[in-house]
Amino acid sequence: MTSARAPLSYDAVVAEVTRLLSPVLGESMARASTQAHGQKLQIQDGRLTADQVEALLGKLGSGLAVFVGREKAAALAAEMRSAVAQIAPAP
Amino acid sequence: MTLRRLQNAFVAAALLVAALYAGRALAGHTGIYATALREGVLLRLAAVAKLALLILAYVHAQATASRLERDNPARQPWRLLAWAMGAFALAQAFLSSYQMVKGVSPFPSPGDIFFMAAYPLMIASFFGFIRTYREAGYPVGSAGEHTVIAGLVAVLAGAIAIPILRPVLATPGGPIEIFLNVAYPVLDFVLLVPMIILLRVAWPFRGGAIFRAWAAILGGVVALCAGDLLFAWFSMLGEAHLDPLLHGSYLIGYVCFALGARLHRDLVAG
Repeated sequence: MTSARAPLSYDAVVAEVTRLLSPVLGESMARASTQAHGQKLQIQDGRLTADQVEALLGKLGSGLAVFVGREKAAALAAEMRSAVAQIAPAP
Repeated sequence: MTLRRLQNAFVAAALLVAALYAGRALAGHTGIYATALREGVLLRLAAVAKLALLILAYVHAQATASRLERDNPARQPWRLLAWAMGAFALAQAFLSSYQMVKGVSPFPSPGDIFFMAAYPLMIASFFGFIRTYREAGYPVGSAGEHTVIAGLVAVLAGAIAIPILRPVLATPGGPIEIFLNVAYPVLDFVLLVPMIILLRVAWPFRGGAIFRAWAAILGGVVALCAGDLLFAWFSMLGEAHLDPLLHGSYLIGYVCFALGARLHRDLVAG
């Protein structure tokens, strides 16, 4: 789980989430929407706290629901959480 | 046979018939078109394919709507689009029955009631999608930008529609026939307004499944509009020999509707 983790690199999270969402949203929109939500999180030093990661994934998941339904959006969000959990903490 | 395989078979058949119609438009009543593929044969094949594709589009759109949660804002636009496809299918059922039994395409026919009903449903559904996708938080343009696009498309559509439709109005024919020959292109031009905005909304998703699904549906709208405009013009000019182009346009349009609706259904199917 992300809640017990050290901050993660914002760029690494964006890259991972973009990779996972690209098949559905297209790479350009996956990156743009992730960055658009990310900009609202008051990120400092290019790092995302566990709460910010959760907020980002929550926003992305709720946006996806209009295209894929909540069930699949939740599955995608879980996949994103799992992938982000593999990212090494930011130095 | 699964629904997917059945659809693939109908898509392949429809594209083949559309290609045969293109050949028929180029070759006229010569060669194989004077023997094995006479007018009535192609008309009956197309009648079956069109009806099947519209039923499939309805089934997929309805399934997509049902799969979305009751409070999901995309559910209602999907329901409206499903009803539009259902109205097209009912209309085509009337038309196909004439075409199958008598080998002719009556105009007007009871089917036109349902064809006419389908357009407002589709227009309302498209505006619903635009609002829903805009409010979902994706960078797909603001309400102001969409209003400007709508205004520009409306002005352009009006500028094109008036010179096209004026001669249609002057054509001899029954009042219902003239009304329909004008009403279909007018509804097409109105439909183009949300269609262009939806294209703007879908464009940033290119490369993804969402874009492919919308590109198919919007491609279907383009083919449908082309068919309606050609129909109005050919009716007015009495150019019955150009009917193959009409049938080809509608076949491609319905292939796109069925394909786009299925791709959307796949998106929500998990």
